[in-house]
Amino acid sequence: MSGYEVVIEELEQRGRDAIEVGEATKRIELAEHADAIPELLPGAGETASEAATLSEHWERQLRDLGGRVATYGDEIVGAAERYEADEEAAAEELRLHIPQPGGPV
Amino acid sequence: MSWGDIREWNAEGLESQADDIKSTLEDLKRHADDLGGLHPREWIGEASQRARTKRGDLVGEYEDIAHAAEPLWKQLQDSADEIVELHREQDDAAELAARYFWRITHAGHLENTAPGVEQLDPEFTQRRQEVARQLRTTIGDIEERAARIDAEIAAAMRRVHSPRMFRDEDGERDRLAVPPAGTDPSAVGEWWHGLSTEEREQLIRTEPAAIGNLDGVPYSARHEANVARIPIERERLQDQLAELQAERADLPRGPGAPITERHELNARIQRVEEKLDALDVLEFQADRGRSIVALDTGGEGVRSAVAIGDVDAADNVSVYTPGMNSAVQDNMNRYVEEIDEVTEYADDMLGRDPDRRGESVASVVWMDYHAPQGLGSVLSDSRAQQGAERLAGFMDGIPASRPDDPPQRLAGVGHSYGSTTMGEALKQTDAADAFIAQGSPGWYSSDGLLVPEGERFNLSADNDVVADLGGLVHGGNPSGDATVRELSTDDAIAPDTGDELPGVTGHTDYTEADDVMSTSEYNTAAVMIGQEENYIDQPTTLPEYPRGPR
Repeated sequence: MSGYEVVIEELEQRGRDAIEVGEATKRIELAEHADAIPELLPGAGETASEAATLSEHWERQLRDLGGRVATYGDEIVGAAERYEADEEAAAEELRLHIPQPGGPV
Repeated sequence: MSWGDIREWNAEGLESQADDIKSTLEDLKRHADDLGGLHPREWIGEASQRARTKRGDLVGEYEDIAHAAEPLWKQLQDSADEIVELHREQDDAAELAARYFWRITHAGHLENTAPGVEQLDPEFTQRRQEVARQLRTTIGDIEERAARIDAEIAAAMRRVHSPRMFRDEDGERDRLAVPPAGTDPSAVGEWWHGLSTEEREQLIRTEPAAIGNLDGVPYSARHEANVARIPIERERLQDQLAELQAERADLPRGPGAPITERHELNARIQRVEEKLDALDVLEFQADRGRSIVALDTGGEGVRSAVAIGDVDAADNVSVYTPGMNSAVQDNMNRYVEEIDEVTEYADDMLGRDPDRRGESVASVVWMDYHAPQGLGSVLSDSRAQQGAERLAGFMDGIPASRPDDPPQRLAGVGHSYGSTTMGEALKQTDAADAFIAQGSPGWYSSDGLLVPEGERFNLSADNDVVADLGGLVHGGNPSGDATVRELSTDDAIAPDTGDELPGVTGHTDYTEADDVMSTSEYNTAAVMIGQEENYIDQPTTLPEYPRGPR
């Protein structure tokens, strides 16, 4: 396996890891905690009203952020695929420390 | 919400939600860390740089979400503790009620559990009625505190989902963009409370001139920013002084020398020297534990405000404004000593009242305006008008900087022309609960004054030439104003201690720092904290003089 392949594989793996982080972010249940609060404080009208807004806000915020992190991961995977198909681009953009035959190790 | 609702509040559940939110935010931070580590070192070039920037922004977003939510889980924890206390008081009240055959209903009313019991023993019946009164007060108090908890949690949630932001130089909404001058202090307060501790510290470091004077920012932060600026301002002024002195040294002397130019330079040098003296005064006050809550070295002189006590937390806050010939370098120290003494009297007065023993008091000597220097400018109202606008913003900033815990009382105190400035300011803000004027030449009219009637007071000592000016300037002393209550400056007896209080005369001794509590200081202290039963009114009838032989 050449040095390029090792780095490209690593890049692809990190892209997949980012996609996973993005998906995990979407699953974070922060909004549920906001939803739970009014039940603990019956009659607290101001809290109930703000909790509903906060729940929607957190839901949207994490879905949106998770989505963008996943897209970022996709882009990294896409870059890895491009390098795999285009050795010239890979040579330019991947800093490799591959021992050359006869050169210093 | 009702008594019964509050009984059902689940403090343990709230505490547990706070822990869950905290732990979920830690998960978020872990995701940010994971994402932060996902960049191969070997990847370089333009695409890599773009990806690196994007990843940095995304990591920043995770951190922002966690920062923004931090005050909420802290608020939930505090509220859970308060609810435990409320429940304990509810149990005590229910137990007391039961002992006297009362039951507190879900709606918070008292229900008689033993009809006819009042006919048994008149003494018991009387005690039972007293207990009923006491219970109604307790019920009202608990419901009020519960409403405050509701409001505090709601406010903390609001700050998470709708954080205040302002626009930076490029017109982009930015958490660290400082609100422009003239922004409503309550918007500033919301913005500041939505920032993380690190962001606040960064702003104090990078924008001290703005933060140190921004109404709506807590006073501890303003102090920190202003104190950091003193050595920087001193260096700047020393450089300016050296330049002016060099310029003066270069002026030709002898016949035909430019006299006007020399006079102008002398005046400018004097002004810079006075500013340096003012900085020394402020540094002295800061070293003595006072807070520098406003600082502006621009213009004709240094403007500043010095706080005594904790303005961010005190239950009772007052703002004192002096008048003609007041300047930081000349008399800030004196005014701080005077108001410190009166603040101490107010604190002692609270300590003597068993119902108010735990309350605190703080005061500010506000000299953040160019007070008239000399008769020429004192006859005009322009200094008062300019000062009033700034003072109104400052007064608004006090409750705005404490959105969850505003002071229960904010009083404006003005001496001489300072009362004109204060009066004009209190027509622009309704932040003050009370206003007391000392030796006042007037504030034109009480029309438009936003301080409630019944909370406007005047002190006018014998032989005070300014108060006696009549309607010649600024509307005249408000002694005849039916909406203003005239309090005494004469010899009197303190209602709460029975101590003799000496009277004052003249224009300058209303709050003299001499360790002797005068009637004027006693009344000022009582108004500062709203201790109504201690107000000593100006006698409305002339004293009887001993009649000698005719």
